[in-house]
Order: sequence, then C-alpha cells, then structure tokens
Amino acid sequence: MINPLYLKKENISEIKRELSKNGIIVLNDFLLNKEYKKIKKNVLNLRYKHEINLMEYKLSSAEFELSENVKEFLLNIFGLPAMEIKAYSLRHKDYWLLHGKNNYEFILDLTNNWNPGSGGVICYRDDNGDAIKIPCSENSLVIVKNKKLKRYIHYINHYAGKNKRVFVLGKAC
Amino acid sequence: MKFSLKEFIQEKYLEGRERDKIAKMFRKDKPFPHFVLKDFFLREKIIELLKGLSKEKLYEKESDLFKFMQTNDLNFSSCKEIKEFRDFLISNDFISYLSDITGFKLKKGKIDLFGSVYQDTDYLLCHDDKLEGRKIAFNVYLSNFKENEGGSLNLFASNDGKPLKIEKEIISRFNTFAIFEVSEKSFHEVSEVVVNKQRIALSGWYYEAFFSLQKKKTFGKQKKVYREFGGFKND
Repeated sequence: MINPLYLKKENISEIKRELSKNGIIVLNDFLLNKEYKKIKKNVLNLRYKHEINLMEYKLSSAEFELSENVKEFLLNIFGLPAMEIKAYSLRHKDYWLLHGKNNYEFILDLTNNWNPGSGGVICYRDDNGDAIKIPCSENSLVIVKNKKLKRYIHYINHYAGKNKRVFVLGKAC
Repeated sequence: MKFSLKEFIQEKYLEGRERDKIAKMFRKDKPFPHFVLKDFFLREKIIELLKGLSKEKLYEKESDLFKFMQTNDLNFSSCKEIKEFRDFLISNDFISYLSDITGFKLKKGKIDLFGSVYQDTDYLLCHDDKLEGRKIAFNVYLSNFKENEGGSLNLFASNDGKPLKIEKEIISRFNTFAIFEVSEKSFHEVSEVVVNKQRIALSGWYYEAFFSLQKKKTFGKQKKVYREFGGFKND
C-alpha cells in the first residue's frame, strides 16, 4: 500500500503541479512499511545480471514488476500508458554516466543506511550544468518529468565495502 | 628562454641508442602507442616543480566521470618554478625530442598544462581524451604509489571503438614521464585512490602541427569548430 498521504486528491494535484513547475519531486516514506518490506525482499532476491559498457555504465540489473497499485499511481502522475521498470544493484566500482534519453522516470530507493561518502549518489543535471543531488533515503520515490534533466549515478568507492545501492527505476520517453 | 635538453632530462635518455629504443617502445607497446620513462627529469628540476605546484591553488572537480582536484591552466601561472618547467616543455628542443621519438609533427609553443591531486576515493573513469588537434597526452608523476593503492593510469584494449579490458597499468612513481598517443583508441582511466595519500601529477597535451578542422553546417553556413583549450579534466 502507498502511504495514504500521497493518495489524497489535493496532494496528487500538488505533486502534478510541482512536476509541471520544477520537473522533479521526492516523496519520502512512499510505501507503508509492510508493502515496502515486501518489495524490498523481492528486489533483493532477484537474480541480477552484471552489465558493463565502460563508456556508459557498470551495474547489475534484473527484471521487476511493481504492484498494480503503485503502477497505477505512477501512470496517473505521468499520464502514460506504460513504463519500462527494472531493479538495479550497484556495488563498489559501479557507476552510471550521464544519461538523458528519458523524459519521464521514477526511482524507488531501497537502500538502507547508505553513506553518501561511499559515492553512488543519484544526481540530475540541468542544461546549465548544475546538479541536483538526490538525498539517499530508504523508501523515497523520486519522480522526474523533465526532458532537460539528465541523470547520473556517482562511482561507488571503496568505503561502500560490500554494501550495495539498490533501487527500482522506471522510465518512458 | 632557450633550454638544452641536458638541463632537464637525465643524460641516459638523450643517447641515440636509448632514443631509438624509446621510439620502438612507443610504436610497439600495447594497447596503443605509449611509453613510460622512469626517473626521466633531473631530480632538482622535479623538486622545483613540486615546490611550484604546492603554491598553486587547487579546485575540486566533480562530475559523472571524475572526482579530483586540479589547478587552473598553468600556462598562465605566475610561479617562477612552474613557468620554467612549462617553458622547457614547450621549448623547440624538447618538442623536437618528442617528435623524433613519436614520429608526430607537433605544434610548437603550445600545450595544455595543469596539475592534479587525487586523494582517497578520487578517480577518473574511462574516456579517450579525443579533442580536435590533441596528439599526445603526457603525465609527469610527482608522488609514489604502490600497486594496491590505486591512482594508476590504466590503458584499455578496445575493439570497434569500444573499450574492453585493462591491458596496461601504469603506477604513479615519482619522476616518471608517461605519454600516449591521443586517438579513437586511447581509452584510459585513473583508478580510484584507496589510501590516504595524494597522487600528484603534472599533465597536459601536445597538439598536432596541423590538422583538418571539423566543419558543421549552421543555418546554411559552414561553421568552423575549434577549441583552443580543452576542458582541463583529463589525465
């Protein structure tokens, strides 16, 4: 279940207004605890494939389906019929360079207690080259509806140890 | 100011046979033309250079591709020691020396030049340095690192314009001079520094004596695209 706060009509309208104005919004505590734990468990148990394209990314990904109510919520926000959704897992030495093909995307952060000093910070860069750093916060949902914002994820350094940066990312052009 | 090579370079690197050896090494070493010369400059010159660099301001550089600290363009440094070293690097004698070894016709009197400091967790991810006119990338290493401490310049083997795997690892060692040809194949990175040490280097590029300008159509007109100075971000 989605946090009921975000299902209220007036809040949905506000989210849409904010997206039209600034193109990006972060919803903290997006899912109720029970639903969040269920999704996290499922995502952590996926079989990931490590993918390397040195000039673009080094990461692991796996196919993943979100629950219908979450998909519905997102499709309502974006006003789109479908999105491509995948789970990602990044570890030490992984990264994702500047990527700007998606006009619409969301990231559901599933990483517990991530230290931003270990890298792996999700950033969106605008046309002027200014970067917005997304705070690492478990169970937060970043929604982006802005073709001028391009995403990248910082290289994960050795302080990450064996910790992994895990999230679900949905995108549509 | 006119400099002789002997005033800056260890004599052994100036002998004809040694030059031939370096030239051969440059052409044959894989994954793309490069050489690594240990203990290359006279020690007193390198110490002066390090003294000069320590006076320069450093700026944090961070993007999706890199994180490290860098000086401003050292071509405009007012520091005596830096100016002297830079004057030597752009001297006709030294450019001729590099041209002889590499077989490239290099532009005289022009280089890009900056100092960089990589600290714990700093890195530069894989890229090719390619920018109009750049022909040789060079590094003068000013600190000593061990193999497992990171900060190495890694050269990638490539296929079809895509970097595949690390084929050569160049460890940062004090007074080592390393150069490589800048081309579509010159994929390289600086590996993450994983210790609490500073990897200090003086780096830059030499340019081709002449090259074709890339032309782009802009509103029906031919626009020449040429950048005098590249983004000072590469190693």
